[in-house]
Amino acid sequence: MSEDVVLETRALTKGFGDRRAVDRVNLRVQAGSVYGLLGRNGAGKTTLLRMILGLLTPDSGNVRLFGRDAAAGDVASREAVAGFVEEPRFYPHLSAQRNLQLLARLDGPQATVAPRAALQLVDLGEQARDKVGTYSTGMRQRLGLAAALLRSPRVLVLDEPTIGLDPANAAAVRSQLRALSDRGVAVLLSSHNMTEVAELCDRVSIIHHGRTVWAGTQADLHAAAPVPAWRVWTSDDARTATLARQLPVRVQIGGGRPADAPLIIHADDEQRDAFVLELAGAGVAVRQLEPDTPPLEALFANLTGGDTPDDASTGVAA
Amino acid sequence: MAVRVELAKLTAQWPLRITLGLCVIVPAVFALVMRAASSRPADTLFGRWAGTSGFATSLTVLNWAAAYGAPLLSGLVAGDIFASEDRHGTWKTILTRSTTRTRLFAGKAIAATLCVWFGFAVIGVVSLLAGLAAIGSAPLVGLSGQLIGSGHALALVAASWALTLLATTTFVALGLLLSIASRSGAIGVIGPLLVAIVLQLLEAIASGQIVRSVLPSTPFDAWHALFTSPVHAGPIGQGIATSVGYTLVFGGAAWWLLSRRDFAGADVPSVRRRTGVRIGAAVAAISVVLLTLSGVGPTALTHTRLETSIAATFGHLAEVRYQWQAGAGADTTIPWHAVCNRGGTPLTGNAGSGKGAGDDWACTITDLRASDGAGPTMLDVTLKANGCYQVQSPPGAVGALYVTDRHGKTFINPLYAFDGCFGTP
Repeated sequence: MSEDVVLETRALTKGFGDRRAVDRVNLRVQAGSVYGLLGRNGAGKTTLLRMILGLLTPDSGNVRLFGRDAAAGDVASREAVAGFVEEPRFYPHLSAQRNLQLLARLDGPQATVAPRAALQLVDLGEQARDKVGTYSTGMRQRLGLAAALLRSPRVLVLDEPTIGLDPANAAAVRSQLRALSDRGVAVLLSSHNMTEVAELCDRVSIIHHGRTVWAGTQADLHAAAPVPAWRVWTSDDARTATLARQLPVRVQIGGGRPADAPLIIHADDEQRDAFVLELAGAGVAVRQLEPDTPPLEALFANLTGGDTPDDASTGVAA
Repeated sequence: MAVRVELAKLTAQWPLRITLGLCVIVPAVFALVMRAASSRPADTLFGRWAGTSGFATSLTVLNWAAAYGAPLLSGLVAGDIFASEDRHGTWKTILTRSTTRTRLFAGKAIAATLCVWFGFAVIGVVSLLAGLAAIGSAPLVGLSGQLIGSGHALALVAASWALTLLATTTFVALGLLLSIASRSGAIGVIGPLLVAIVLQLLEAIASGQIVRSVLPSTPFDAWHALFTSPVHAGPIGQGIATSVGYTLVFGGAAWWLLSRRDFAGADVPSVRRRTGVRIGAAVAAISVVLLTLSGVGPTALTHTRLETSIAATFGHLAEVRYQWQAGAGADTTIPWHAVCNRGGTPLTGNAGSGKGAGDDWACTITDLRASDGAGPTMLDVTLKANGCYQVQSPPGAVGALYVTDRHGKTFINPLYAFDGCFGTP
């Protein structure tokens, strides 16, 4: 990852009626890095990406690309920028290959990757001649990535690039994005998947009600995250709770718990392991142990008012 | 490059392919029907000759193509070319390519125009070829009663289609504007046709020059002037200017809307409904204003102009009938005099009176050379707002619908009923 900042937003703001969808957001994305945007539905992520791609005119603030201001509709400054927002859309009555051929024609000399090659990159080579109207959501998602790669962009802006993909294809896309960033491409992506963000992104911003509520590196993210929580089922909950008070382990024992409900213990990995060994030594069997809310999701929930990104909340897309 | 992209997208769509197919089939079928049928569409200009001359067949089709074909084609192509991007959700796909909105707009506008022109030209070519093949290339009776030879008729028919083709850009630009403003394929497709119907209603009643000169449908009548003798350049020039003017206004408004639009995601259906209501209200308001002003200002539809035109046309048609019956040209030109009055006004000497469009005109036509005491012949005249008229002559004075020549061959009596135009400046 180089120090060159290729994409920057300064106090970017956009409102619709009385609602401020994006409120003074600052971003700095460096060449060769993967930058993640996290937020609930309606947080403002997609509106932010639309302004970066030139689809929306900001009310105030600006987008800078490669050190120059890039107004909405400024095609010249965005020649090396590609991407998509929300679900990628194409002409359903045309084949994937034909769709990409037409898009490449619009790009003119900027299109440096052949449509067929781009389809091979996203594992759609065999379905190149099928009409896009027959494609699944995941296939359209991959086609969107192929369309973005036609111009060999230096900045890739992707709105939830792995949504709708099965685990194998999602992993393949993440691997591709990492390979692109290793080659110097700056990737800005939005995601609901905390695991994906943790695995892929060098830097993360959490957006809530249009504002950046947290921004930093992966290391910063883990440092700020609360102590992990675990759900544990034992053969003797009372003895477990007594033992827990003797160790630096916090146990949640709520009143009126159903008999089969797990105990919640808050401990890092080392503390957890010591506690399990202590229980075994005291003759208490650990029947099941699994992670409760992951620490990153817990941090997200703390910053955004209680819901994790994966909680389904229908609302206007941001 | 954007033009080629848009043409590729358009021609890949089955509705357009079917429409172009109909542009071939319908005029060809019409020509075959005119060959076989015993009655003709006499209410349409040149319709009464559609079974006699293939040139008239093509011109009959032109009347309908101009009235309905052009707005329908424009709606189908131009009315959906922008709205389809909203329907497919592909604006965000094409606007993130290395091309400007202006280039995209130009590409779509040019592609739509070329497609509409192509469809319209196909109708023209097929109607002419089918007409000539099925009916024949007999000379054409012009709108001043003059006989137009086959070669000249061919050139005039081609020029008529070309002139009307230019006028279609008005509806193409209107379709583009409706497509962008409404973001609805339904409004974009149907809008031009509805506007055309409203314009036809206005055309039928607007005799005032002020309103007629600004109607976007007036250029579609400009080709009539090619078939008068002498040719009137005024309506042709005005038609071209009006077409160019409306094309620039509608097209400019369309580009302005597109250049300022924010693409924030899928529209809520209520937004489109509100836009549709606003567009409908605007069209209704403009129509009411035009309707109110339709009689304002001077009119070119005066008894003087009608009398001059009818006298000349009747005289020419009399020569044509003589030529067909006798097989030779008339050796002298008979001077005719016409006096026209509108609605119930008694004829007083040689003075005519009245103005405006209507089916209540009555004209008397007199052979100034007649020395046998034969009186004037009374003609029933319907004068249209566009300066064209239809005349019904009394069979007792001019003969039956069909007459025979000296060889016993039957032909249509050109004096029995005829059309003419004196055009509006």
